[in-house]
Amino acid sequence: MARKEKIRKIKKKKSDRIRFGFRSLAFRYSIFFILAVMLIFLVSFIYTLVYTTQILAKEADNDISKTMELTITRLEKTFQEAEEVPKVLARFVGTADPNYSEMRKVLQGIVLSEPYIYGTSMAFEPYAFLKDSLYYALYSYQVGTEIRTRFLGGDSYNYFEREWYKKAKDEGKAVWTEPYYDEGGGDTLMCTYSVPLFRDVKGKETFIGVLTLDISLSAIGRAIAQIKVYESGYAFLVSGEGVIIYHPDSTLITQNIFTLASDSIRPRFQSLAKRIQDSSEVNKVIILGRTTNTTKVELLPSTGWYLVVVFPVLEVFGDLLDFLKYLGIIFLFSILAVFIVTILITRRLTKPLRKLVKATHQIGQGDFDLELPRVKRRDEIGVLANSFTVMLDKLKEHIASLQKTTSEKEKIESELNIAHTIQMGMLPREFPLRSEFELFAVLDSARAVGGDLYDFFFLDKDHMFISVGDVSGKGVPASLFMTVVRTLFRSRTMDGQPLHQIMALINKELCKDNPNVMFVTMVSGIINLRTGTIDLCNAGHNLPLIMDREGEVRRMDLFSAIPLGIKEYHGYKTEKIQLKPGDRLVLYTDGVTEALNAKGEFYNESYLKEVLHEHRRADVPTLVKKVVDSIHQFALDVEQADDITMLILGYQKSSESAEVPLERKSIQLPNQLEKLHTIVETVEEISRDWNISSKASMELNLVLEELFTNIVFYAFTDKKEHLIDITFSLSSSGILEVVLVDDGKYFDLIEASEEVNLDAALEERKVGGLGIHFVKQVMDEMSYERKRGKNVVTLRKYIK
Amino acid sequence: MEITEKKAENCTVVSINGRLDTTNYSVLEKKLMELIDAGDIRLLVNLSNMDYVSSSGLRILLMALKRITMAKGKFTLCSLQENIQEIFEISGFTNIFEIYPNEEEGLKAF
Repeated sequence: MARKEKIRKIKKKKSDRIRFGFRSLAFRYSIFFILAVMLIFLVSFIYTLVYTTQILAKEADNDISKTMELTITRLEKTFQEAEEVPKVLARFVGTADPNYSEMRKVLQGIVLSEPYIYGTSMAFEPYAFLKDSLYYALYSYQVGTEIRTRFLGGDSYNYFEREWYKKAKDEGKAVWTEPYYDEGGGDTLMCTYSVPLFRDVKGKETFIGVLTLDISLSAIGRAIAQIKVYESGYAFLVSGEGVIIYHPDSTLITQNIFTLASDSIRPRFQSLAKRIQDSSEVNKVIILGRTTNTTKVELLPSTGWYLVVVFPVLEVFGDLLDFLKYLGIIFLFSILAVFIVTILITRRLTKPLRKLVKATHQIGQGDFDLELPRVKRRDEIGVLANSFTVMLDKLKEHIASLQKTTSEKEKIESELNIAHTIQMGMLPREFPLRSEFELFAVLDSARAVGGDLYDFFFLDKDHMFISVGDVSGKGVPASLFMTVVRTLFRSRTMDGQPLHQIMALINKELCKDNPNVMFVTMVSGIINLRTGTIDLCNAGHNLPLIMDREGEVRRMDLFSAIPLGIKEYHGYKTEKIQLKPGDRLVLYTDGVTEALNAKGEFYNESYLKEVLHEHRRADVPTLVKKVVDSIHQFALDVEQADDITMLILGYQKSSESAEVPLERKSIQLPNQLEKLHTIVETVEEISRDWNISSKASMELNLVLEELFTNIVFYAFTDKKEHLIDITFSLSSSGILEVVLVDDGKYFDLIEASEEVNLDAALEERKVGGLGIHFVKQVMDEMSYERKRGKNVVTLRKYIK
Repeated sequence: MEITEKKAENCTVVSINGRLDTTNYSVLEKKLMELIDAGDIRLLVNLSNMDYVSSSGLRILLMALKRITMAKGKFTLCSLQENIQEIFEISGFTNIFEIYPNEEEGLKAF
């Protein structure tokens, strides 16, 4: 267990000691700060990225568009120039009637005029040029550096069915053919511009033939190949029908992109084909594509061809990506720097806090005198540190005052304890042992000092004063007042005045100087022990109870005057009551009947009567103790608000009673067990003479045997002979009294007798101790006195 | 005081005649202990002729009862006189002893 405790302690220490952990303020706030900075950086980074990308894309688009435009303009110019030539020539053929040599000259001139004009021809309708010739077509073209001219047409080359002838004838206007490989004609990949020739025959425009211009595509290809798009971008040309006119990959030339698209070997042609089919996609500005390559398509208006530019996106943004990479690295370093700076700052900020934490631990261990760290700052932490200092001062003050009050309280408590001892010491504890009466009283203080009192003292040989009172209020004032009351009674009662006068006198004295108007309720009495008459006076107190020999309990009906100490008053009454032998007068305070239990119920008078009745056969001290015990059992752990006081006076009968004994017999026996038979004989004798029943006689025998053997066995420590006196007497009222006197050692058999548990099981039953129990059970009264060095035991039995 | 004993079918009947008091209880003590030590632990004590008993006498009866109960025997009383019965009641012994109104019934119980 000790180990566990230790571990827990260490753990606690660790968590308490805030240095620079993950829970520290510095760390947490740095993290928050860093996250915020990162977020801001990220947002601006993304914005920059998007913005620059857009700009770069736009610029790239512009650049490429410009390049394409330039190329297209050049091509367009070429085509327009090319278109001009046949038109002029057509007019010339339409109006004039040129011969072969003129025509040859013109055609060769055209071929020479432009490098990309591969060849030119003039083809006529059947028999239109010469009446006897079906075909007539003249074609001039380049072969290396020289120009050749030859006739076209024949069974193997029916030019009327050729696209360049048919299309121009059918549409009646100049047309561009699709690129084709002209076998038997130019023997090269070319495109032909065909212009129809008309002549005015009798005022009517009549088609007579076609004039063509062959453009060598390799020449155009060279122009397009010159287009440079970034590092690896390239351009190619597609006809309106989708035939690739030029492509850097020469194997693709003359292939149709629609065929290629359906082939799906080259997926990029699919999107291209789609864009050409759906002309709206043409000219679209390039977008940062998902694919690595981006394509831009532009239409050539004169021919209906498309210029396609393909370029890798990465090259467009190449610099941007590099830039972003550097930006990222800078960003990371900045964050690290910010992080370190934040930590340093927060650590600096929280340094006083950590010192305060350390100080708190020391204070927690009771070190209030430690010097708190000086914090000069005026911010919140400074304020905290200052209030901490103030708190420590207040705490010191508070603890000091607490210590002071505690020690003062302890002092008061110990003084109260002393007061309690003094107060209790004032109550008479030595209860008189007289054969004519029994007296016992108990005072149970609710607090250290209480306001209840009981008192008794002899006025003379035969008269005794008794009282029970309850001072208003509790605590020290009540106990002081009680002391005053007691002292007054002790000093004033000796005078032999009647009780009501004594009460009135003391009342007057108490009223005289009583600014706090304290008062005391009280029942006082003076008993004549010889006659059994008692004078009682009640000043506002609980009415006493009286229990007769049979255990019948009743409340005494006394006049209740006002309590003592309230005002001067002369209405106190002395009431005379005659006690019968065996009567028990019960005086008590309301602490008895108003004892509370946990349910809030009162002990009350009727229960008190029951308890008294139950223990009617017990002697007076036992009776009082039984009642007090029953109160404690009733209340259990409930703390009582009031003192519990009870005084019981049991009146027996004066030994010097007015009743003269009718009969009397005395015997004297030596302390020898064999003398028991003398007792038996004497008992037999008096039983016969005094007319005592055999049952009573036997009981008397039993009792005397027990007492006699007891004396013989235990009373004498020497071996000498001692005499034991036994006196029997019978009074007129039928009381049989037996008095045993021995000069043995002190032995109060009433005190020594222990209660015998009659219900105990066999195993618990003691073999001895029965004798005194018999005596108690059989006799009605039993008393003990030590008189002049002798033990006097008086037994009484009512036999009539 | 006089003590007589006789063997019955299942037990021994001990009769006490006269006074049992401090002067003579040791006679009864000796007699009962002899019987118990001899293994006679089934005893019926007839008290029909006992007209006085003191606490010392009761003590011997209680002692005998304890000894015999420990030895798993049986110790009963019968035929108590009225005043003896009263003494037994006062001492609470009626709760401890098995008491029969006469010897016949006392024997039946064995």
